[in-house]
Amino acid sequence: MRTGVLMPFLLVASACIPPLGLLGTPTLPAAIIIGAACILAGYLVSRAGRNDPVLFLIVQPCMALCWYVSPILTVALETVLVLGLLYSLGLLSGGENLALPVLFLMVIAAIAVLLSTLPHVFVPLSLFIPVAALTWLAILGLAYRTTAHTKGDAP
Amino acid sequence: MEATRYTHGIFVAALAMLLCAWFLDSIPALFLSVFLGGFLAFRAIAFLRVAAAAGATLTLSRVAKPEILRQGGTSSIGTTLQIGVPPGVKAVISDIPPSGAPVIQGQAITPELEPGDHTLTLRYGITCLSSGSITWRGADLVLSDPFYSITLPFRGGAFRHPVLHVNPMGRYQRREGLGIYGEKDLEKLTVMKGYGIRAFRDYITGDDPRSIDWKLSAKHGKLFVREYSGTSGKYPLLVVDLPDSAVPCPENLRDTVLGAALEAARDMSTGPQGCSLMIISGANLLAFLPNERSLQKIESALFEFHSPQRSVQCYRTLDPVVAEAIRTRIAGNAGLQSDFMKRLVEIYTRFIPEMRPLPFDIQCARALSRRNETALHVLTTATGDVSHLATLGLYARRMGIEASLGLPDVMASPDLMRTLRGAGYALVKVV
Repeated sequence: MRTGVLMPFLLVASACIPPLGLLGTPTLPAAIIIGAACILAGYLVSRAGRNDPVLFLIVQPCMALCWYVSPILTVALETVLVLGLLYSLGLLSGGENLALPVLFLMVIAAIAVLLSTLPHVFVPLSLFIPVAALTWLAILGLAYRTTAHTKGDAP
Repeated sequence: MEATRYTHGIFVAALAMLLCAWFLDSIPALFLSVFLGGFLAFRAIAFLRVAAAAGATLTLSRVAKPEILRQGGTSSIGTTLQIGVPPGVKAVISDIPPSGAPVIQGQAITPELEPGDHTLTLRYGITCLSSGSITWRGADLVLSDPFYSITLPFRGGAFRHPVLHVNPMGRYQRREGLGIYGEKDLEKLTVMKGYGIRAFRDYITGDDPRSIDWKLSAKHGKLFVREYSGTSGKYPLLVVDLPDSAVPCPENLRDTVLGAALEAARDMSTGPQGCSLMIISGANLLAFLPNERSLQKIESALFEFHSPQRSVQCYRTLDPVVAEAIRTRIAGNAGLQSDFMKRLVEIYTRFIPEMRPLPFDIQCARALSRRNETALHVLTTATGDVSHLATLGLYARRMGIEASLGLPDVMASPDLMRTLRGAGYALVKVV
């Protein structure tokens, strides 16, 4: 499949799955409306030009609905979406580039499993905020190290 | 590291999901928030790893022609860059020219480089507005993917070569007369022919046919030849007086004087007697190059003592002969016999026999007493004490040497000009 049509295809697929999974439930109309809105928005974005990260963002409300079908399905769809996005952006060419996405998706899958067992958001939310802060501090440190180490004396 | 529009959008979405999760107690919203936030973090880590790998592949070699040039001159630069751009990333490399050397031709920046191995050469021209030994500031590598961009500054020694040697630009004010030696036409015959015609005379067999004046010959019906006036000039001893580096002095003043000295030295070094150069800083003799023909040696000497420290200061030094003249004038004038003057005469009477010439006085006397030394031209910043200039002027006057002086335009105050004229400089010009 050409990289230009991969993300629109995944968007349509992801928008169609929640209504199918929610057949016979009270949330079906909402799933249909949200799915249609996502497809319409995706169509408008695609007409304006190729913009895969935006399509990736547009499809996220459908993923929220998909959670009510099955958390595992949500993780599976997000995995496909992430891999599709990285592939279409050319960020997934080579074995070494695959290691980090796989690690990320495994962590996300573990988090999804944990979250699916919890009835309320208070405890995970209170854990998530400090962890996110620490993670971003570490990333800023890594960015500083990358910038500061390019003295130019090497090679 | 900077985030792109996509990253901002994903971050806002993650934040919105987080608020939804908090207010609606929604686990799916929290999951999406964690997922989107985690995605941004994962991309940041992956991007930084790729950026570090790309940075390690960058090599640069730069060629500048010429490497030695005058201030305001243009140098053509060829910068060869090699880089391996990782997949999914775009790169732009900027060669950063030295401070005070703007790019005037071409571009010192690459186009956006797609993933793959690249070897490319940037060709551009810079004009050197500042002087001295100047180096490049390095290179900047800007890497970007759809989510982040980062600028890696390469400032190490390998990215700063070569060194451009920019000689300061100065205008050497000619002395009176023509050319560097102040050539003047004389109304007498000399070995060197001048440009003017002093007389016409009948043609004598053996005269140079080129000197026949054909118009005059045609008018009178017989051959007339032109008799050219003679010419005379003086080989000046060039004295460059550099300011004390311990005292603040505007850099442009120093450069103006050095540039004027270099211009004069270039002309003089090709002359029959070479360039006689004396570099001083106050009453400190730094270098003396008599009849030097090598411009390289002259330039090295000027740049070696670019910022000297004056170990000897002679603030308002008094020459023994001048002091004796003052003492005699006071002692012989009845109108000046106040208590203070009497005391001054007494002090002078005691001190004058004990006064010894400074080493600088001896050096000046020796430099000016050389054979064929008939003119002295001093280039100075005229900052701080100028008593050493008075010493030089005094010795030149004693030895019957024509002394002239050049100083930067901004320093040429009427008081200073008057002082310097009084010190024996017949001609005070600004450089």
